[in-house]
Amino acid sequence: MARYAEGHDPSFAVVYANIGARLLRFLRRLSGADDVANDLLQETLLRMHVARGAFRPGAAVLPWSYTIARNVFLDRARSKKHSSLSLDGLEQGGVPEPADSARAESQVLAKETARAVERALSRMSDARREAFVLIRFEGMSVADAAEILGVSENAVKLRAFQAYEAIRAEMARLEQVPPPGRSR
Amino acid sequence: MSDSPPTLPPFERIPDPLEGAAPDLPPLPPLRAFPRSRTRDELRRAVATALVLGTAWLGGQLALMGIRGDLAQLPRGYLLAFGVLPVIAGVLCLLSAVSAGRLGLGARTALLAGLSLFTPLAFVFGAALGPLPYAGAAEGDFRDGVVCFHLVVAWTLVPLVLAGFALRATFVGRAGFRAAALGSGAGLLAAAAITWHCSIPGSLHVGFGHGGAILASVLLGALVLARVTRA
Repeated sequence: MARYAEGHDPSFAVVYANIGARLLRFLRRLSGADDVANDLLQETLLRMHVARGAFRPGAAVLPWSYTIARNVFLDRARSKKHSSLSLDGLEQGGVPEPADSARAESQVLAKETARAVERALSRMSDARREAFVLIRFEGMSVADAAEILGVSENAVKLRAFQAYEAIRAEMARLEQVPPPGRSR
Repeated sequence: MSDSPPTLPPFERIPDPLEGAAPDLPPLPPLRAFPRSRTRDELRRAVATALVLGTAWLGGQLALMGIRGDLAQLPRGYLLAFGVLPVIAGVLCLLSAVSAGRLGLGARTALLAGLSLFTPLAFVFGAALGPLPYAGAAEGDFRDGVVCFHLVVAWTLVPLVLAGFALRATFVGRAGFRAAALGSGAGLLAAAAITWHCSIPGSLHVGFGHGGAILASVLLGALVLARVTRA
């Protein structure tokens, strides 16, 4: 990234190869839909390109690019006012079809749990979702997440904790519902 | 009720809905499809140019308008408080605005907010609550205050436009606070310049005519410049 910021254009391909997938997943988690995440990724790349001169030498690329991606997401959320998030992407997600009946039940359960997590994430505020996603799924420290979100570490902890509670509540509701095929 | 949990709960208990999902990464668009962007050196040159032009603008205005006639009667403390300290505070505001911070996302929010708000308010209340600097000094009326307010705001506009042009789309994080700090810096420098020109040292005149313009500049930064500078 430092070379790219200095004007070496081919380095952008290296940057993209290293962080593109993580950026896409981050945007997918924020937006809740694959097609939206793809659009947001394109806009993020554009803004990274325009802002490259402001990249501080020696700084980590991920927090910098996550912050731009978050700006893009927030801009879209404000302009579209899309508060309801799609769960379509999960259908294309990583839970494979069951290979045999012995594994089918656990895979169905895993899929339901994943859906419950996505459902809870989609229902909470952007602020809570961002904090939780950065810490739990993107592996950021509380300090780095606070820098990215522009708030105090306590605020990040509180938001992530509230998100965690909401997800746990959704998962608890799921556990009370009997799995398919055992309802009678 | 506590504001924050003492420690984070075991987040690893929450499964990752995207675990195992290989993202279908689209190909990188060709860079020629992107607008031209500035390299680090080009950005540095743009910022330096804006700083030189902005300083020249304020200095030129002061030279054009002339130095105040009662300079000899003013105590050094007054000139230090309203003609020199605002320059130092303004430079600090500008430096904090362009500072990259720990992760390259800008200085800490508390520092930016503190400088953007505290320094203009210190100017306003320091002037409004202070005594007349010498016996028989002009206090000025409401109209004088409005004239100076407009003058200081006009003086800040050029540096703000230059800053917006130089720093467009470069504030990755905290754009609002950083742009407010830019506004505060430009306002403080302009207010310091007018201290050397305006021969009305009345408390309310300086406090609200000159200091109020700094607050207006902070608002301009936070509300308008932030949109231009945000990446």
